[in-house]
Amino acid sequence: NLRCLFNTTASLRQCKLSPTLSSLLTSSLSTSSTTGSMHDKIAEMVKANKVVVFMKGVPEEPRCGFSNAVIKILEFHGLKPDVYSAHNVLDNEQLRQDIKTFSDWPTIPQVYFNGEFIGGCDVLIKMHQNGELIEELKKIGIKSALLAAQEEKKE
Amino acid sequence: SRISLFISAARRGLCSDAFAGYQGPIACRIQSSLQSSSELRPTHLKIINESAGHAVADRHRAETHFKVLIVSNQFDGVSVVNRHRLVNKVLASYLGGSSSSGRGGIHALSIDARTPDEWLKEAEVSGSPPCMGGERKQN
Repeated sequence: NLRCLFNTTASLRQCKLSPTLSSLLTSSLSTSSTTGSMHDKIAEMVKANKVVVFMKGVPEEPRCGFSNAVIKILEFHGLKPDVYSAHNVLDNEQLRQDIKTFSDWPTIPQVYFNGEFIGGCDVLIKMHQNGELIEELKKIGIKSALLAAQEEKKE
Repeated sequence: SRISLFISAARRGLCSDAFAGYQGPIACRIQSSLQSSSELRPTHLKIINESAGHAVADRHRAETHFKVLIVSNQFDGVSVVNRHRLVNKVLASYLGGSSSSGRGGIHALSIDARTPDEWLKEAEVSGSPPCMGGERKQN
């Protein structure tokens, strides 16, 4: 049930945000490489698999509620991490910036089907709720687990 | 006391339905950018500050994470992702800049974009996914 994911009265993490030394080092390293973009590399990445996700953290341990929601929705539809490609933007500051200019979309997570930008968390939630996600998966040759479950019920 | 309740309500402004959560300067500017947008012409608008639910400094006064509910006839026949692109375009200046914390721009923008009919059918805005701690490294 998606509602339990979005229960904002769930306990809040009392954590302080402070930049770590390693993340400061990573940013300085990435700006020393091309000041241009890695759009060409991203163009390859989005075509490397039927479903490609750019997120914060990894599917086993998302570092952001919106990224987590995307992973969970994909899971509802039967897509496990071994089936799609996930890229952690927290590991690469250049990627984190350039993915936004590549798709002309300002936030992470970002989901691609067959190289085409589908949307972020909100879009995926909406598509999951209105049945569009099942259709979009069908178009790329993936049968949603929810569809399979519905069909089983009918039999 | 009743007087302090009245004063705090007055401070929130006449359009308190238009906001939820801490209503700072960024929330007000987001509201006015969307309200005055000729591409969007919203019939209903609500700016919800969700920063308090995230791992940010001084979270009760932060303006880092927002949810926007926007109802507009302009969304009729437009796909979800393209509705969001329209809103992103109007709010581009708030979303640009460094993605790292504290350096200009908001961290997250959640968008609920509906046509007036869709809003009539379900006049409710769901909460956003709970924070997963962000970039804080765990030891």
